[in-house]
Amino acid sequence: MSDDVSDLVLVQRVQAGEKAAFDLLVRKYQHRVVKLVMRYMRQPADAEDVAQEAFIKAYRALPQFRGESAFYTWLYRIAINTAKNAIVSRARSPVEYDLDLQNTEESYDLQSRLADHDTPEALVLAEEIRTVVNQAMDALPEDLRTAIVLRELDGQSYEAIAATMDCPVGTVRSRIFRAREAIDRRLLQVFDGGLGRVEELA
Amino acid sequence: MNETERDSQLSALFDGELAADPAALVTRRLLKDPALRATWGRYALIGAVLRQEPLLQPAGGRADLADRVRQSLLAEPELAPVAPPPVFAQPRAGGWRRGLTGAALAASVAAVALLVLRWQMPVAEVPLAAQPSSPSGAVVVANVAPQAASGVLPEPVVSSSVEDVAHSYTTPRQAAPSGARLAAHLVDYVVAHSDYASPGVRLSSLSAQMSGSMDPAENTVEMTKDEVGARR
Amino acid sequence: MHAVKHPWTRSLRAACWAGGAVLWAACSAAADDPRVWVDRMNQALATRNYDGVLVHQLGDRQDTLRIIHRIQDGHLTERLLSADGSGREFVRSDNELVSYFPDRRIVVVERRSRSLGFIGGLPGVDANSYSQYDLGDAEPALVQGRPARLISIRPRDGYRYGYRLWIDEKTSMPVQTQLFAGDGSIIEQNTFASLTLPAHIDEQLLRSQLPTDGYRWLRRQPPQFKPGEKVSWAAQALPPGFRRTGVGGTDGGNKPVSHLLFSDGLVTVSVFIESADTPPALTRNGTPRKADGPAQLGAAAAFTAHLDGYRVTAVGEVPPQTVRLIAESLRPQPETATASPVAPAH
Repeated sequence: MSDDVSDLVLVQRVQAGEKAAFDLLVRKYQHRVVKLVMRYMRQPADAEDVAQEAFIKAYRALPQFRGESAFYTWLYRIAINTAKNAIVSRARSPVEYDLDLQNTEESYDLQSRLADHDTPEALVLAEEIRTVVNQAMDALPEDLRTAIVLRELDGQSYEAIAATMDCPVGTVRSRIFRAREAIDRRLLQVFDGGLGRVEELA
Repeated sequence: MNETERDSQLSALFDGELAADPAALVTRRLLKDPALRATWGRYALIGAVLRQEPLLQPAGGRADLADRVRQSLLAEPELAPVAPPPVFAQPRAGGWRRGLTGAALAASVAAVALLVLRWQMPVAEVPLAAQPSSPSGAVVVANVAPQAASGVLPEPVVSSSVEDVAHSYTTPRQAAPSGARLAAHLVDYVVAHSDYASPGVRLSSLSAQMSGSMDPAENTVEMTKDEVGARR
Repeated sequence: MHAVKHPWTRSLRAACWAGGAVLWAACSAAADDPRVWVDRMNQALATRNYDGVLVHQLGDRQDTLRIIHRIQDGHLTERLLSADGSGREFVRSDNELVSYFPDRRIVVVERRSRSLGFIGGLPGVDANSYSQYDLGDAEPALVQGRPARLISIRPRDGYRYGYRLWIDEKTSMPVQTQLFAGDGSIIEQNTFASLTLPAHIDEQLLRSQLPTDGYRWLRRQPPQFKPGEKVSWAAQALPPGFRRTGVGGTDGGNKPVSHLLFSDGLVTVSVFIESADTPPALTRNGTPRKADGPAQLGAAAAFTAHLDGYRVTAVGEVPPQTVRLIAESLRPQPETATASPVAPAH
């Protein structure tokens, strides 16, 4: 997968002792991991706890990661195992998880909204973010939109997208960046000056 | 390098599409610059919205997931720097693009070698007689050591995420009754059915022909010399 | 709480349905969705050239074949070479299959009704295709060190088999596939021992190099398939999920046979109906060949039933009980009634 290079550079930094690099990996994959784990947990709040556990397990196991697979592949496995163990250890309620994959989209959308329902503020903020991003997508010129859709929804490499859109790889990179920039401009307005919470990392 | 170039590098790094050297540079900058880190976080958020994943926004004083992980990690020991890990496989040996023709295409990616068997295959010979010498042809990578048939089922090197047991090949039970020749009409039916056969490899009837439970000459008529000649 | 579909998703969907096939994969929301991977695989199989060595295991048989597959200007040409020393070859181009048997010095030519490769795809993302199966996530896996996705298609009952596909992440090719029974036992397995995806395949690679001087050239005469003239047929009872999906077709031949198709969305069972007047074929030494009841050919089970002077045979890559149930349930319909798919048996 084309995420190989950036992930491996970050992994190497973590393995060299820089925890801050791990934070970047967490921020990149946290949404995916929570969604994945949600399928095993009944309560959305449980999913976040399990995801947190999975990331910590991954950090501790990182010295053994040698790049035989993509980092996300490795993380994915850890997340699933953590979720399965969590089901077993939470003996209070029997788990029935409904993997109705035929209605995948609808059911996931439902679940993702539930997760943001923690507090009213969180719900409002999440809705605002979704609205803003989707409006920005609507407004994008088609070539930029296609490029970012193929990248984010389909996970295609720049090369594959270049073949699909019949343009050079450099153009793909530029289109994806410009799409992100256009969406980001609107996103920044939601956060009144940056989702950063300009944090200090340890 | 102007602002736009630099940001586009971050976007490319996020997608894993930056070469090793610039990737190392941008990563260093990324780790030091809070604004860049914030942008990285927003890139992840955009993807999450598009893929309808939970947005995990902090609100009401509760830290978001990444922060909680970071807090937990404060208590963890830093990973002791180990010997540099082995060189990771470089993705994408070389791009191939539509529009390239002729020698350039042949030279760049005429063939992408995929799999090389790591186990000995019990076959007499893999016919490579048709391997062309022209550069426009395929570069065949059949890295098989010819070996006398040993009757031992090789073990493919396959591993999967959770239950390896279920995914390794076990000697299947007998699928075909031995010896019995099928009625002629059944042969026709199986051949006619094969075009509608289940997904996967439509080799059943060929396999049967090779094993002898189907006579290939069944239900055939001889072609005339003219007919044969017309085919050449 | 309903998902709000934004205009950009709608226009994307419209582009997909309008035949922007390359964007179809982008319409799914998750990279773990197995149907996305199945679609990618189908796309790869339909558009890429490939040249590889395939190990085909069935029962205690193992065949190793080199398979060379080319798509050029919309035309499919394929060549299979057996690696067992017999020198047998099969060359398929569009609607014709030519089989070479050097050990018997014969070449057999036959027409095929469809232009299909030896490695088939799966039904795509149509939700109905998998209603009788449980479709697992596209689980990350490794095949010979390469990242792949394992798709498990588990049967929900004992009337059908299950499938596993290992799809290579970079190229979307099915580098390994398995057919397994309800008890987990593996019926058939195909593994690519080596595989390349050349941009161009030389014409020479697709032609048999065998010296065929002195060989007998034979043309296969399949039975003539056409809908029964006076009688139409319907199934009284079908296993859950199976519906009548059409008629097969082959031309040429000398006796009328009906070829009906039944499918559960994933697997297809063929039913052949012909008059029982034709005497059962004799073996070489004059004894009648087995013509009734169950039979097995590789992964395909068959069952022949007799009814009202007709011979009804069901054939498919399904458990024997399924073909038996289907074969025994066919009934002739009076001329005035229209044949219709019957409610599933429960």
